[in-house]
Amino acid sequence: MQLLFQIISLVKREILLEQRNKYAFWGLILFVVSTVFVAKFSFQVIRDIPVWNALFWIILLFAAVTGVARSFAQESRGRLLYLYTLADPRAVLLSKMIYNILLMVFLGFSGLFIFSFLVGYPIQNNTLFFTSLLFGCTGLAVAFTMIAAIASKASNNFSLMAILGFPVVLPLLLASIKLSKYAADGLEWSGAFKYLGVLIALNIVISTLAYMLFPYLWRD
Amino acid sequence: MKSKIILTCLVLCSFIELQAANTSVDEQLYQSLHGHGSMNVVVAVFAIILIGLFITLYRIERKITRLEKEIKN
Amino acid sequence: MKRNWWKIFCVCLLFLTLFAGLLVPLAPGLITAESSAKSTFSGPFTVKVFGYNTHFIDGKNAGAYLINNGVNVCATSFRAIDNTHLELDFPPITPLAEPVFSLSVYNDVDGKLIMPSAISTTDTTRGGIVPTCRPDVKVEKQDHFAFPFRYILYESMRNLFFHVPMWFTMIALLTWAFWNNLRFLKGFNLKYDQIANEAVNTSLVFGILGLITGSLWARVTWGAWWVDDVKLNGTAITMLAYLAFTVLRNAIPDEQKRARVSAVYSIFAFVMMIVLIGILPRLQGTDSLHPGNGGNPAFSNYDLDSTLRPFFYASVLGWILIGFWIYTIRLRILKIKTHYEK
Repeated sequence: MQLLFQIISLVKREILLEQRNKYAFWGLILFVVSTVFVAKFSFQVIRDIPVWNALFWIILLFAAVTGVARSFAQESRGRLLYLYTLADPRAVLLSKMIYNILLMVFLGFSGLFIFSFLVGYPIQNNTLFFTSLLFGCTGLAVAFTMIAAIASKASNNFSLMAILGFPVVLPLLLASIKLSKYAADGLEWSGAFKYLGVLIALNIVISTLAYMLFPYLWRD
Repeated sequence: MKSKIILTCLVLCSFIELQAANTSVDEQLYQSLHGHGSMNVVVAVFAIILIGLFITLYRIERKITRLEKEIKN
Repeated sequence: MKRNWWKIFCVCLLFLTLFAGLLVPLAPGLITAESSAKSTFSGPFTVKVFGYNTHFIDGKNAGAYLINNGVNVCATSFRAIDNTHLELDFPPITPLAEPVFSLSVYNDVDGKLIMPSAISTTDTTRGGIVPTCRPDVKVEKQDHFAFPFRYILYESMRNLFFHVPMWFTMIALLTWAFWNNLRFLKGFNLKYDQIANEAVNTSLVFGILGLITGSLWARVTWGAWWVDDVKLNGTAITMLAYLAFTVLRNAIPDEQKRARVSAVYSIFAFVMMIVLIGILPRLQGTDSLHPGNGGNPAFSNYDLDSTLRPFFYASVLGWILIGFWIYTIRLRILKIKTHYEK
């Protein structure tokens, strides 16, 4: 119960931090918009489903890397240490995770809005696509939060984050791209269930692993 | 050392490419089976594994040499 | 001697693998069958058969027949050109159901050889008069010891003893590394970190070997160096993850911190590997060319029959042992190094 309260107040703190320096958030939005514009200028309208899928998920992937990488890097060592003494370190991790999930889901759906507004929307099964987008974004956020925690222990550079993150995220991306393809083809749910299962299972596995392993990670 | 390994790999690859680039399917099958055959693949695979083990051996040896030098100093 | 018995065992197993894997012959089989006419109904036609390891001349009591929908049509004449080439004459026939015929050739040395869907016909008529016969097969199966004949694979099936165990060795070493990562996190003893690190380094060697040999084999049997296959992509991602692991280790100078962080990441990577190699390929409906995936039964009787199985297990054990041998040597070097650095 105490953990829950800690998490809630820590998430509030994250949102407050985000409000204090808005440039990072708007930078992210700008990143998404500009990449979508590049796609718009080169393709006009994308009718080819695999291309649409690939572009959309690549934009989301890089948005996730840039967006989530800050979560541990933006805090100074002293401030993190202070947080760890105030609250359970797991609560810190979970709060960052939850905040990143909110951020990624927001980015995913707003990105989808801009993307479909500019380059077309070939999806037929909407609910399936939204579900896959939801869990895909959650997975990206969860995995990259953990990787950011790991990378923050090692000189914190962006390239290391990418190197460490991509292998962990690739199965998630594979499953969500498959799901989006199902949704784009307007197929029924029955065929998509196993990939949805994989996606949700990966979410659960990564977040439990992160929760279990973080106590070993945060100490300096 | 490295260039030699790459060269060996290239020779092996080109050898197999040549085998596959024959004109008629039947002839190709005949060649690949009765000439040296898909047995060639087995030999190539085994050779690659041996090369890999040799490289590991070489790397281990280099490590030991470095260690010996360190201990001497 | 007492401590090294397993190394001797490993050498014995690998010798067994080498000799059995390279010397046991392949069972006879039919590779191609070519019909002289596109239609099987317009007149008598000749089928040219090309066999592998067959004894068309040496085998006594030889014959051949076509099968369609369970009905046999015997060849009117059987001309063996040599032991691997054969010409068969058939009377005009119409298919009963599908317009494809399976071909069966038999003799006393090779037993009965069957080539499914050997000949197709352009005939649109069905169910006309089909001449039937009762083939006089004396020997059903050839009696000498041989590996099974598989279309397209042929002799390259022997790679089962060289390519596949690379992956088993990699996975065994990574499992050992995973176990030691857990042990490290339990007591923060750097000994276990060294073990895990060297196990991962050794497993990478086997992983790279598995990738190279696999891509070579794929070029010959599947026609491309790299095919889009769940298992291939999964292993490639795993290799990437463990390469990232080595990069991560180089990025942290402090020993304790490096050990902790890399242990956490390594556990992550291992779980991902289980998902990628163990679970994703086994989902029904995913396309895979590998046996045991996409709903194919794993190493079923078809993929791994009783002649292959014992040698396969022996080879897997042998290669795993050699992997651990290399790993122990590397570990000992590391131990000596840390001892002198202190």
